Amino acid sequence: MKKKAYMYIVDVTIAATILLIGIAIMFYTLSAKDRTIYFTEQLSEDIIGVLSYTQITDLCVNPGGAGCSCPRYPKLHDVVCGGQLNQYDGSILSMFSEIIERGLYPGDVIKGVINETFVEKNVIDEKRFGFSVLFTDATTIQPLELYNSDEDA
Amino acid sequence: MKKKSQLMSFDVSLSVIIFIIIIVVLFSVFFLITRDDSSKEFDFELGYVFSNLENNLKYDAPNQFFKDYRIDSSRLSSFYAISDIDDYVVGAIGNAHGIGLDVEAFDTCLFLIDNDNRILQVNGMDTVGQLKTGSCDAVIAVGGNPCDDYKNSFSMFKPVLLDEGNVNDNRIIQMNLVLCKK
Repeated sequence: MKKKAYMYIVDVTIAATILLIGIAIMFYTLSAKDRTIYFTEQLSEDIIGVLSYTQITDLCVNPGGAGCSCPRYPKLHDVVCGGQLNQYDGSILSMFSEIIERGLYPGDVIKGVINETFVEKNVIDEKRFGFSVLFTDATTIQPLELYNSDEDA
Repeated sequence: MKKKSQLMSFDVSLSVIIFIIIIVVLFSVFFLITRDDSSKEFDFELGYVFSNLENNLKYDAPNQFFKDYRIDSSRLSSFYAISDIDDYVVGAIGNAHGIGLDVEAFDTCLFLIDNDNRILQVNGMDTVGQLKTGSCDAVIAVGGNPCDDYKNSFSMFKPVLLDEGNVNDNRIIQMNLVLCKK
């Protein structure tokens, strides 16, 4: 009987030790000491916001005229200095609206400008934050996808 | 034989009960550790941080470097030189109002990331803001985590136009706020 009791006690001790080690390992690996919480709820609003408040003249010299240039944004340069737009005193977002409404350029061109502005210039890390930009046509009420980070730009 | 079988059932029942208790404790510990309710708890306040910063800067015109997604480079420079970002985030300026974060609860660091993915240096500084251990700039300059001695850290960023007053230099960059919960 003594031997049996001894075996039981050893068995319980081993089991308890394994349990404690397991809980300690779980606690150590799962507790997030240096976890940073990223807030991105406003990001979609901010993407549209910065495009609507940034004027073409903020990023381009003499848009639509002689010596037109967008020094830091080559793809934007192709659009603004391409001679197709009518409005040069508006925002980047209004420029997109004009392109879509008048069918001036294919969708890849707008996609390229958005990608250049936000992804290539490291404003939004596409590996961590996916985003898409939709344009809703006023007449058809159909959303038109201008950009989706899940697809190659 | 009766006594033996009774002992065995008692033994088995006891084992099963202990087993269930241990499983419940394990799962409770697991869910307790992985529970992430801190972001929900602060959602309401944190969603207003950038707009609160912008609103409060209105009441301190010389330092109003940020308005309508546009950063005025020259005012940013003077802001970095003289200001504590906590004053603006909390809403302690003159007639400032709006929802701010309690200065007793949070420390704040503000910095800008340029198109080359490096922190934009303004007036020789990388970051503006004060921590428990000193300035944000001193910590980040040596590659440290500003929220190392804090309970939690929250990071948010906003695309903004950096207006250098010159089309050749104007560009859209990333403005960052890191909030360290005390």
